[in-house]
This record gives sequence, C-alpha cells and structure tokens, in this order.
Amino acid sequence: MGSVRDIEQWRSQILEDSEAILATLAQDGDQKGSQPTNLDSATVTDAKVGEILRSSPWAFSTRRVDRSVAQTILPSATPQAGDLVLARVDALGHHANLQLTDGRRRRLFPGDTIVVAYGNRYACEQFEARVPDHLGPCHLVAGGGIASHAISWHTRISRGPTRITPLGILGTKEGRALNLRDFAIKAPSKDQNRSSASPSVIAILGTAMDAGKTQTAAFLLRGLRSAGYRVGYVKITGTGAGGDTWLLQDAGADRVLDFTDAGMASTYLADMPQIEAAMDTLLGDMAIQGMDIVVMEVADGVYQRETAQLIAGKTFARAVDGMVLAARDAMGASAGVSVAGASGVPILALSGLLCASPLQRREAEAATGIASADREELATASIAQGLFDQIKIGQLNQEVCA
Amino acid sequence: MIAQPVENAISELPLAALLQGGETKAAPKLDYLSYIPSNVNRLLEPLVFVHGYSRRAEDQLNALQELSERTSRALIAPCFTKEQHRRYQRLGRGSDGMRADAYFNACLEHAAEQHELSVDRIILLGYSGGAQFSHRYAMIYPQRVARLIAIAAGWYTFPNPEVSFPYGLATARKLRAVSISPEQFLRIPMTVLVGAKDLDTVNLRRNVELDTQQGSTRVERARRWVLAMRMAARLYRVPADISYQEVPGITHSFDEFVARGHLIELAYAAIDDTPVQGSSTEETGSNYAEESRHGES
Repeated sequence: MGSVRDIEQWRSQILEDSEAILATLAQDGDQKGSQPTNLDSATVTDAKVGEILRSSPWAFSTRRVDRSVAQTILPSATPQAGDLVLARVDALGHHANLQLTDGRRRRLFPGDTIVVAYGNRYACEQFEARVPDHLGPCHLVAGGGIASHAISWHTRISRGPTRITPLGILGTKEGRALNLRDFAIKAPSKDQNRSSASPSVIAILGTAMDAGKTQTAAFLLRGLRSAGYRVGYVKITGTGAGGDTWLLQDAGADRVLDFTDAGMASTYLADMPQIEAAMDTLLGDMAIQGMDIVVMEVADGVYQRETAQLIAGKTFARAVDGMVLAARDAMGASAGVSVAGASGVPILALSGLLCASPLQRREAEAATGIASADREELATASIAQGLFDQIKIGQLNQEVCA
Repeated sequence: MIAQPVENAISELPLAALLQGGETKAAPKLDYLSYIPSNVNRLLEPLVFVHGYSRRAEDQLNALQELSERTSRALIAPCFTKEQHRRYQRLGRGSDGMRADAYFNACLEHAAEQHELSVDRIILLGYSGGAQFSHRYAMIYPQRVARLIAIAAGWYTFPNPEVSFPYGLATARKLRAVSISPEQFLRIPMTVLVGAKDLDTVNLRRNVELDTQQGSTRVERARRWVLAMRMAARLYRVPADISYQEVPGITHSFDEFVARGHLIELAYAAIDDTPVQGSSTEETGSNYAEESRHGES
C-alpha cells in the first residue's frame, strides 16, 4: 500500500466496516430495548389531538386563544415566536409550576403534556432564552408558559430550566400554524381614535429587573384612583406571566392589558415597529375604554435592548407624558435619569427599592434633583395628584411657550 | 481529492533553530506550540491540536506538520502541563485558576495575534486525553469548531441532559452558568477515529458507571458515543455529520496511528470534507515555514 488510490480504497473500506459494526450494535440495542425510546410526535394521531388538547393544561400565555380553533398538531413546522406548542414535560428544573389562564399555579409532573407558546426571554435574574429553529427538546423558561432554548441563567438557579419536548405546533383544521397574534385585540380604527380622548400616559421605567417597577405602578395606580381618575395599566414589554397583571387588577386598575393582548408571547428580540404598533393598539384601546390616565410599565432596565430602543423612539416620546423611575440605589437612579431623561419625557419622581433606605433616598434626590416617593406615598391621593399635576403644568408651559 | 503526499522537508529543519521563546504580558503563563506552513492561507481555519495525557505535544505536533503543509493551514497546539492542568480532559480548573477551556482560548488568542490568524473558527483535533478535551470543548463552543477530529478518546460526554457533566450534559454543578446546546454541537461535522486494537485498559478510566454507560474499552466507548450522538441528532431533528472510522490493527499509540494508521491521510480527507463557511480568496503568506514554542522558560 502507499499509492493515493490504495489509501483511498483502504479508507472507504474502513468507513464501510465501521458503519457495519455500528449498524449491528444499534440493532442489538433495539432488540434488548436498551435504546431510549422518545415519544415521537408521529405518535400523536389526529384522532387523539382533540383529547390531548382538552386534557392538557393551557398556560397563562395562551389566555386569549380560542381553543376550538386548534385542531391539528404540526410535528415538523419551524417554531416562530408566539407559536402555540404542545409539549411534554421531561424533567423539572426551576419552574415546577405552570400558571394557568385562571391564575392557578398548576404543579407539573414529568410526562405531563402542556400547551405553551414559543418566545424569547430576557430576564437578568432568571433566564436568557431564544426560540430554537427546530422542534427538538427545549426548556420552559417562564412560569407563564414560554417554550424556548435557555442560553444562560442566573447562578442562583441551581436546578437549571425545566426541560420539555415539543410534540408539535398547534394548527388549524387546514394545518396552518396558530400564533398568539391570531388572537390579539384589534387595533382601534381611525374613527374610534378620533372619537375618544387620549388618556395621559405615565411610564414606569427601572434600572433592572426587580428594581420595584411593578410595585411602583400598582401603588401609583391606587393613588391616582383615589384621586378620582379612571386608570388603566399597560405592560408594554417583558415576558408573558400573570403576576404583574394580577397585581394591578388587585390594585384596582379599571383595565389591564399587556403585550400578550397585542399578540406577543414576549417582546425580547421583537422588532421595534412591532412593539410600537402594540403600544398604539393597547393605548388606543385604553382611550376607547375611557381611561383618564394609563400607567404603562416598561420591563427590565433602561439598558435592555427593547427598552432602550423604545424610549429612544419618537412614538414613545409622543405617547408618554411623564415617567417614574424605579431604582435599587442612588447610583442606579442617577444613571437611569441620564439615560431615560434623554427621551425628553419629564421624570416625575424616583421610586422603587431605593425608597426602603432613607439614606439612599437622600443620596438619590441630591444626585438627580428629582424627588422620590415610596409605595405608601404613591398610593396617597394628594401625592399621586401632585405627580399628575406636574404633567399638566409641563403641558401648559409648553403651550405658553409655543 | 487526495493531494500528492509531500516529502516533508520542513520537519527536517533543526527544531531548535525554529523555536522561539516568549513571555506573555500578564499571568497566567501560556504555553503552546505553533507551526506556520510555508504556503499558509491565513483565511483558512487553523488546525488546533490537543495532545494526549502523556503530554507529548511536541512529538505529536511534529508528526502533524505534514497535515499543516498539505492543507495550508496554520497549526496551533496548546500545552496542558501535568502540574498546571491535571484535569484538562474534562475542562477542569488548573492550578493557575483557569478552566482548561479558558486557558485554551487564551492560547488561541495569543497565537492569533502573534501569527496574524483568525481563530474565530478552528479545525479541532485531539488525541486520547486531547480527544476528551476536544469533544467537550466543541460542546460548549459549538460556533467555533468547524470540524472535530477526535482520536482514541478514553471516554466521552454523552448527549444526555439528565446525566451530570462530564458524563452527560447537566452542567449545573460542574460548569456553572454554562449551558450546552445539543442542537448546536450536534451540527458540528465530526470524525471519530479509534484503533481497532485499542482494547488495552492501561491508563483508561474505569468504574462501574462508566463501563455501564460507555463500555469497557476505547473501541466500545467510541462506538456507543457515535450511536448516541446520531440518535440525539435525530431527536433534535438536526442533520448529523459524524463519521466513524475504526482503523484496523492500531493499538493505543499515536506513533502507530501516524505510521501504519495513515492518520495524516484520514485527517486530510476529513478536513477536505468540511463544508466551507462563506467564500475565501487565496492569500499566501511568507514562503518560509516557521515553528515556534511560546511560553517555554
């Protein structure tokens, strides 16, 4: 041996022999049943689809879906954000419960089948996750029912994500994939927009996840309601989960909507025109429903991709009349003010976790020149009214100047 | 296509004359060998070789110079010393505090700077303990590895998310904050080589769990791993490109693999099969081969 041709032949022989060995080994394995058998999507026949979908819990993220439309399972579609998916729970990790549409947290067991939606997730305290480009095994990355592939997570999450295997994307009778956007509330017509007065919009921004934005929103909303206004709540970005919207319902909001109502499972990696269109739709709906004021929460910190893009855009500056910034400490508040302030929208107050510390409050107020208000203060009619008056005074000033 | 074998004149040059010493600017100390072939094409992914547990990096690199010349690809061989990186095979942390993969990356970056190479994508070859390192590295840096050639690994990380790393993919305890994406590493073109007579258990890690999961010899373990990887690819619905080659008559010996197992030919054919990412224009560097050892004290 030695010539090129000889070696080529020798190599082909090796490949052939090696594959033959593997084939025999694989066969032996099958006979002994030692190979893992995965519940294949092919085993979900049409006849069983209705039964499986009826008996599986549907996650909070699917709350707007008309279940009667889902009649097929598409085992070979490529997932898109917002697609509805039937999945089997393989092993429990961080999320051992699934939020249902009625708010109940249903305990999960390995082997359960669940209906969730594909979505990207950005959560500094939890998971970074992206919609995979295949229907293979992935993760449950939010308790509200988001299927995705977890890329990284906070080290505190020692168990890692709950693992699931998609069995197929839900489809119509005709086999068209169902997506949350098919069930979104309709954008208000021009006539509707013209005939209803736009509510004032107060945006709640924060320095990071868990800075106290939702608490700020809830307590401010209570204060504005006690001052006699009809107040709605909109969560414009984030990941589909019930916690925030239920809290605001409990706080007495006259109407509660989030991006899920605009047809998105989450807003991470969504295009800005899509998010801005969702904002128009949700705020338009609030106008039609006769809200005086809308408290609009923007998820995560002001450095986060969509939040940064949103507040830098014209749509935001046009729609929003004032902001409240939730921060954990004075340094964060100071950075947040300079970043969020660039939008040109006035910052009415500081709030969030920093208000738990009188010293931090003092530092923050000194550094930014903006007053802070803790939860109890925000819930007071006079203080809430005072914040709202700042908007009115600012608008009057602008009119006078113009 | 197989090119005409080249008599490798370069390796006959006195090694010492081509060795270059050097110190890194900052700790930790990086130690790697590199070989730039005379006809180097700097746009091609470099070959990166990881030595075995007996750490014969230099001999093994010399043997691979022919491959470097024939493919016009630069060759880099990070060295994991026994003192500094005892458990490099399983991406363990070294006495310098660096995890083996981080140390490996630092060596690549340094070599890239020294020799004006791009190491964004590499052809990764590993022998024995180096094959263990290489397939684990590919699992956590799937974007970087254009092809993996794993030769005679002692044992493997199986694509099983339920089993703890390094036996499986559950990294929560062993590799904190590292998440392995099976659907990404299963796409890497791979060549798994093992000598058909590599049945000896000297220097082979053995215990009941390992033997049950993987088998008791390198041959058995390679077979089972390839099957498991292909099955995982089916489950994740990704096209697998895993070539398995049991080379007749070869025991657990690198030299034997090169001399009688035609390792260079097999590796050349595997590299030749590697899909090209994007297009590359021809660019030829200096006409002289250079060889160097960085970090030799």
